Amino acid sequence: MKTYITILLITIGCVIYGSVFITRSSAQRRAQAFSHNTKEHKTGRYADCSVCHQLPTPNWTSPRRHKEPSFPDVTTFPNPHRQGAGNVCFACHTDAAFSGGGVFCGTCHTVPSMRARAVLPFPVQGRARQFNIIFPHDVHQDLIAKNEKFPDVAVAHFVRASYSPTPVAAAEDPYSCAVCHETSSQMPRNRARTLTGLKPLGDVVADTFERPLTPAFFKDSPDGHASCFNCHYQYQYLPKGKQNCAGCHEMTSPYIERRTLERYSTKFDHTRTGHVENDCASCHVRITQNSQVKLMKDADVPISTCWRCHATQEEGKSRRVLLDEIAAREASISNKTAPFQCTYCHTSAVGRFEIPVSHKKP
Amino acid sequence: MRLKTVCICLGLILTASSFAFAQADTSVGSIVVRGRNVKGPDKAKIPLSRKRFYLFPGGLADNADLIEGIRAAETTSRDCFYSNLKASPCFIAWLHEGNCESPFCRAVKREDIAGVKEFEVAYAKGLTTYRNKPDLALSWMINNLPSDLASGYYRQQRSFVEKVTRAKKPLQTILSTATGAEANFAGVPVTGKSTKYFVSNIVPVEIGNKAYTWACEIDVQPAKPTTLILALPLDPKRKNCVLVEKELKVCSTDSCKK
Repeated sequence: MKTYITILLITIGCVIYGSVFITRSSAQRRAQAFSHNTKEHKTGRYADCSVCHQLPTPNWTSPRRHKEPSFPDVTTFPNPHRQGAGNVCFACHTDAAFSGGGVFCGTCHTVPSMRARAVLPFPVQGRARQFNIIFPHDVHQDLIAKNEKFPDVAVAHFVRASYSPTPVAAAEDPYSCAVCHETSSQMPRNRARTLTGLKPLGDVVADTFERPLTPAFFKDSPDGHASCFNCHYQYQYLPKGKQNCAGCHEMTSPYIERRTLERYSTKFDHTRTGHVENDCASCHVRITQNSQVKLMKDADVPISTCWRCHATQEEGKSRRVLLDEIAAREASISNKTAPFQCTYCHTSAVGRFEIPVSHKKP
Repeated sequence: MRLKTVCICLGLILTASSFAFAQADTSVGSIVVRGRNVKGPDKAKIPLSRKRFYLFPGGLADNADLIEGIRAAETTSRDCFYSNLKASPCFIAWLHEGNCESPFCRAVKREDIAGVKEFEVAYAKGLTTYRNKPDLALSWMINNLPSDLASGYYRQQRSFVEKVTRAKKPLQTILSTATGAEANFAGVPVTGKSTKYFVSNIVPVEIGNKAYTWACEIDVQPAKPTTLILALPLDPKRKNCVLVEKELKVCSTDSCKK
């Protein structure tokens, strides 16, 4: 009996001694990941984003990354070291910094230790995102839509009989999509979109480009507050009841942001003559009814918008190219020769697949 | 006798299933909306540029309530809206210069500020808020304009549409291109050989002192684009379109003395 009691006491002693080394704070066990989606972080005092995220942060005038001009923004982590109302992390995680070897410090600092000084660039790139962006294209396009003004209207703008878009006058660029979507200055990571439900008819072949692929083929998307704050600083013009961070940021399951652009037509050059003159909505025809950007699967350009110029019988290769390529593909299949691959718009990753129904012009 | 019953049942099932398949035979078409001779007295402006068009199922008869709503709704012109807000003549002139419906439509340039009371006030407020950064005060000016001046006209148009359409939800809504050349409805469901749709701009288009709303029905065929021409004046022989024309109240705006 005595032996059992001794063993039991030794076991209890070991458990108590061992528990000293087990971290008690959930933040410590998380190491560097911070979750907005916990009861403690999204209810009560912390339901108000501004308790942690000051807008603007006092350091907003400091030079920004990529040498962008500074503007009133949230440019750093909430300060956990301040006392009083600003004490946003240590109000609960008081002992977190003193245990677990300072792992908690790695939430914001480059070195997760008690001696940490330098902070990570904010927001931390590569960490899972916890919010979706709420952006209704339709509302924005209604508001910033400019009723285009032409210096010379000798051209009758509404009497064209052909099914082809009217070019935007060179005098003025439409002050609309370009406000947020600028021509890329650096080559973005890009790849051909993966096709589902279609069979490949041939093997992948080396791609050839009539015009070398340049950053100008692509358009940027807004990243950060810079594009939004010129109208929405301090939640201006957000819907009633949503005049806070939640007006644009909607909590979601953590996800890693995909930074690779996927296209069906990698060879499409936005800046090419014949493309650049047109209003964006000439091809992205459905964008003006998009009420939530997260619902968009892709850039949504129906092939019918390409037909206007590239599937006509007029002179010039580029005018009839879609018809020619589809005919060549069908001929190669009926002649039982190696399948002709569509190369004018597509790289081999897409062009070797069977022709979808959408491409068959009536 | 039993065999006969089985055959009848089988026949009924086959008929019903073929009917169901026929119903499910839905493909898509597209509509291209274009204007013809839709020009105003100011030849530099394109009346149908950047105008929203709405697509509803059914023809004219099915959407008679919408047409009635368009006829009955009171229309306030852009000038009257801003005059009622007591906007300065120079602010209204600035909107006119860019053919804008709101100050969101184009960037305010530095030289635009002087003489436009609203811009002067907003710029000064911006300088204070943004720690004396003139570039920010200029490019973020819209934040510091009174809300009614900035987005009031848009909100008025939204409520106009809601008032006219009531519970009826459009199938699609599309903005015409900046050149006003066309508006495209893509992926319009078509059952059988063709399906009737109703297209309207709902919010009247201002041309001179008149406001025009087109309400048209169109037979959309599968796979190929169907073109809908909005003409001015409307050919009386056209039975598929109704043009609602209203005189606009003229609101006197003083000239801008900059």
